[in-house]
Amino acid sequence: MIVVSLVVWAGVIVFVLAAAAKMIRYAKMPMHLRWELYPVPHEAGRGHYGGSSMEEVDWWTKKTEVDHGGEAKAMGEEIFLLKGVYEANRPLWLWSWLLHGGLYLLVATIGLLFVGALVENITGAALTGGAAFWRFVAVLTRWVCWIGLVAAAFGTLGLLIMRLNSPKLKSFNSPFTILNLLFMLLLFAMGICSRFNGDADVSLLRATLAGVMTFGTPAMPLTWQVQAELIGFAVFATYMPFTFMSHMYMKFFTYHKVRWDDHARRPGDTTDPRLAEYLNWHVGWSAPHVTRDGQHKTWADVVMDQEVEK
Amino acid sequence: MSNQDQAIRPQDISSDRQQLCELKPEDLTPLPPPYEDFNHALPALKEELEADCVQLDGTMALAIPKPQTPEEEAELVQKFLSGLEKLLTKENNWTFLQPLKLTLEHCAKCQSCNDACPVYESSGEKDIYRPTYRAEVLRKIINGHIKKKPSIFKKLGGDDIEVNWNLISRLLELSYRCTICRRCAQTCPVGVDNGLVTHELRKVFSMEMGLSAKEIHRDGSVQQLEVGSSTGMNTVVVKDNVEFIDEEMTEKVGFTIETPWDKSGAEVLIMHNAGEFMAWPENPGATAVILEAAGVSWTLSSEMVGYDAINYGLWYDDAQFARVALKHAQIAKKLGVKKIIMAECGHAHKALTVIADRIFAEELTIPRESILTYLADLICDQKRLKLDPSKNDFPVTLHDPCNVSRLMGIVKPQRRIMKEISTQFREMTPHGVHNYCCGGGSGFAIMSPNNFQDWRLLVSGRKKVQQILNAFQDTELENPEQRKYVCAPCSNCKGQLRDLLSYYELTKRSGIFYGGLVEMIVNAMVDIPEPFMEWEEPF
Repeated sequence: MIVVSLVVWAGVIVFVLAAAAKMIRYAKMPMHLRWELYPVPHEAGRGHYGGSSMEEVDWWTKKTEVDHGGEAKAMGEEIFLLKGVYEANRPLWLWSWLLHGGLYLLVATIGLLFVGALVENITGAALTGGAAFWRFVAVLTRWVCWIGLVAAAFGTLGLLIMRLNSPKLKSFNSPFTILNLLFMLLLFAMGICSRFNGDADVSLLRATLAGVMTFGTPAMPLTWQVQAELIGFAVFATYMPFTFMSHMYMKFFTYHKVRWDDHARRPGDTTDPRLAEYLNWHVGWSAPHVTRDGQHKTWADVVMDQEVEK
Repeated sequence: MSNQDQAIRPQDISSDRQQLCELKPEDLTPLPPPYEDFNHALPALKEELEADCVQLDGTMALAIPKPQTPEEEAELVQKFLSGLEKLLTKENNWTFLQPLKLTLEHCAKCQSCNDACPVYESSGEKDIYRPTYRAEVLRKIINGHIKKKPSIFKKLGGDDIEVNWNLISRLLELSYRCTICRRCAQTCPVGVDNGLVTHELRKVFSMEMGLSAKEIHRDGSVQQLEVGSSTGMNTVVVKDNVEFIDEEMTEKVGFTIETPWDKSGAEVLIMHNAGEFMAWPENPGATAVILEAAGVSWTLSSEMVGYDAINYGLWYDDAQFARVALKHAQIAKKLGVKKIIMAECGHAHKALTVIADRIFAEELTIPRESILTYLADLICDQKRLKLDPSKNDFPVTLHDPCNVSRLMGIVKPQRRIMKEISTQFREMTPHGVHNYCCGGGSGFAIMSPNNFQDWRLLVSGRKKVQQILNAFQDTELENPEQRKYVCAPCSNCKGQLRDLLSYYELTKRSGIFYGGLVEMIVNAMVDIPEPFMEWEEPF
């Protein structure tokens, strides 16, 4: 049990640190030039057809109205329905939706298990024998977990079959592409296997997690399936932030910091102090027209260049 | 399975094959009647070019000659890799580092973007034209040659790509097979931007290796900074041209048109793509007529660079981009105008209004506005012109320039104007922010080396031809006497449309003409007795 506890804690810590480090690394990158792409759903009254405030004469003299509801709707459609895949890649959508939906339910399962395990540790009793609310949480956890595992397993299997057979996808496959899917399929299969082997209501998994939380011994006898399941998910959590799968949370940047970043400077706005810093950075590009063969050292020199190319 | 015999993998770009992909006429997407016969093959390249260059797809936009010795090749490879390293540093690429790295690290390779690309679709789904293809090649080079990783990870990631002359020359060409319309980015569920990859690749080639399309660098932004305009016109010539246009306009509309130059404190500084003064003089002429009739205080600048709104650096080079944008802002500030109005030129709209927004120091932040927005206010809200839509009683459709619609969100103003000036307006499908590029974007419209013009008309412009024909399906498409009009408020789009109409014989066979929006507005003006628009066949 101590090994399981260590691996799970390590998985959680690595995941949190790696995900946070990546997000901080991106957040600290320089302010890029505007590169938004319409439709931008927070454009009040215009988001639905892709319009922007630049459709309004003297827009800089008017107050920018932000449609938070429109943005939330667009995010909801993308996150929960994978609208983009549905519209642009229908054959892939069902499998992708099952996998993503399944993963969301499994994330919810982890949350419910965490709460349940905490309660079990505090009360010293199984959740299933507690108050009506906690019994409801136990039932909810059971079904959310089951549906999540089955949906994610089918989704992954479907994606794997498509990856191996679709001419459009096949030529871009690398060993990692297939290994990632096989790894996830194995994880979900292990979860289903655990449910079928004495832990249909996930109470053993919850009890094991309660033990992991305190580095203690679970109140119920351990099975190897549940241990393998926990270790598998912990390993996945360790690995995931280093792959493209981190798009799950990095979409915050691709959408909010690039595609929908329509923040415009207005006359009278003070210059962002970051710009002054960037203009003093050393330019290393080698083409003669950029630095005039090394005469210009910084971006400010390069931009202010009024020389004529020889 | 796509129409090609064998899938082309990203790693194949380094291969020794003489030509990576062949465009067969029968693979091109069919056109509706009476244009089914327009499935031409690309004309063959000159023999010396074929011998001297490794081919991508049977056309050449840049045609860089092969290194003569292994040492030369090694030096080229080294330079290319060094450029990629710089692309990934904040000091050299603060302008686009975050979006680029997001794209490089998060693509799921789901290929959802493929069908959004008109080049990929029109070519008969050739693998090399997938938006993901060049991005995946770049990703593999970076993972395999720039990032420090154990070789086992490189192998498992499929990043063991060979970087050689074949790869570099083909990737350079491939960066000029995408119009950067960013339709692919619009469809990506993750938010990855493969259009940006094209932009960044072009930057490495230009800013590190000095390799770029001569039409947009040497004859484009360099000439603009050197002479004043990419057209080669200096101040004296442009003033001469405008004087001639003024005379023409005065004669046509019956009241005096005299373009004000360098009017200090004017309400608006109009910035035209200087190509208009030469290729479509009726466009700046019509703009002048509208502004005079509406009683606007306006001016043009005669200062070098100030009379040409273009900023080709937008497509390939941050340094050139910033230099031109800075000049534009300085000139407007010096004149003391209240705002700059970007006339009908899409890339100039985006360059100065959006992309340059974060590079201006406080003293240079001057309001910039689209002429479409400005005219919609003058015409639809302030009712400063008397207009009769029945004077434009012919079928008309609207082309949305990507830079104005998808990349700036300007969709309604041009439609509001259209409502006031036209009786037979119909939309293309799709339109607005989901429009298709004319096929001449990112500099293609002015690029015609070797047989590249044939490629941009046969392949990158094909979707637009289909859209135009579909928009006029309810008209007499086989009757060239019935005039139809494609309104394209963008100089580069008009350049491409001129060539498309001529190549596909759309004017000759179907009576389809093209032009800008301001010409239609003047044509609808009640106070002008004679028709303003002249229906001339493109040549």
